Amino acid sequence: MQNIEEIIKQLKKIEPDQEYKNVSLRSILSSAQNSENRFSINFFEFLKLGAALSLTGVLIMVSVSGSFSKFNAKLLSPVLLSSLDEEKIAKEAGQVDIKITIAEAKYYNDSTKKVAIALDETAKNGPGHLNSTIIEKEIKGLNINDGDNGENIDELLNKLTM
Amino acid sequence: MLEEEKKYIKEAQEGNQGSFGLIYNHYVSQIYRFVFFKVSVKQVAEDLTHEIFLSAWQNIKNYKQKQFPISSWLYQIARNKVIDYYRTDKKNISIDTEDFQEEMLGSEEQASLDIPLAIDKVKSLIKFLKPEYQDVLIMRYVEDLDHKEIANALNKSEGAIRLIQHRAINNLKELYAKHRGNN
Repeated sequence: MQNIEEIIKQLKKIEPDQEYKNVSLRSILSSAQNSENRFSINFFEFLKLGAALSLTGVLIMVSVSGSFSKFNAKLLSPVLLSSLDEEKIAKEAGQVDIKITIAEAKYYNDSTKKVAIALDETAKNGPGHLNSTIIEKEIKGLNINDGDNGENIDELLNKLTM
Repeated sequence: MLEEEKKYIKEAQEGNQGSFGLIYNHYVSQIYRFVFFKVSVKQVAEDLTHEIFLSAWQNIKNYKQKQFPISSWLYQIARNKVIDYYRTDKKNISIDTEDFQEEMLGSEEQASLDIPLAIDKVKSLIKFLKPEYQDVLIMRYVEDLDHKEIANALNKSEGAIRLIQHRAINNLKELYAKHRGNN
């Protein structure tokens, strides 16, 4: 059996007809060549460069103007929008302040009166005025309904303060 | 021819018909053989070869010269033309060794070629190999291209080309033995 590689090499004998080659070549050369595809390559390269420069410019402007964080918060993170809304936060803070102020004022008003009364009574009676037994005894001793005692009320009050 | 070829290609790119004619005459036979082994019909091989060189002439201005001969580019055009031919004609003659049947061997081209029987058998059997096996066998043994050139033409590594060549030869030997056994 002949070596198969050698057999394959003998296939070089296959050739196209000379007449076919002549006719084919003449036909090919009679057709026009396509123009070089330079414009489309340059055009697309130019387009890519332009797009890249524009994008870079926009990014620089956004970064420099400081609006990137606002843009990011409002458009890219809508979930965070409600918690980052400055107006809403200021309004809420104002309402809290008003409530605190009203509550404080009420507290101070009430406490001031109580403290003033307590201090006044303390100044007049000393700590003894808080004892209910003493108070009742004093009320009896005063005998408010007695008309005579009414005339001497200033004298009695002076005695209590002594 | 590589140094002269560069000059001819440059002139052809400038529209010089004579230079392209020299390139055509240098490569037309090997491109024709490459196509013929794949389509097996002389008329079809001639038509496809004509289309390949027509496409080369029309698009040579876009060809970028490398360290390889222009044949690599011509083989790439040829492969695409053959693929288009089978795609449009819904033909597929490439089958595995196991599916080989003797009656599938064509005889239409035998009448036009005066070559010994063994050579004719091998020529007929090659078309039953996978397309890439055919490519490598034809380029390597018929056209004497080195592995590097074949690898460039087929967009594969040299190692892959050596492997394909080894498998293609074994595959062809199996087919040849089977065919002889049937006779």
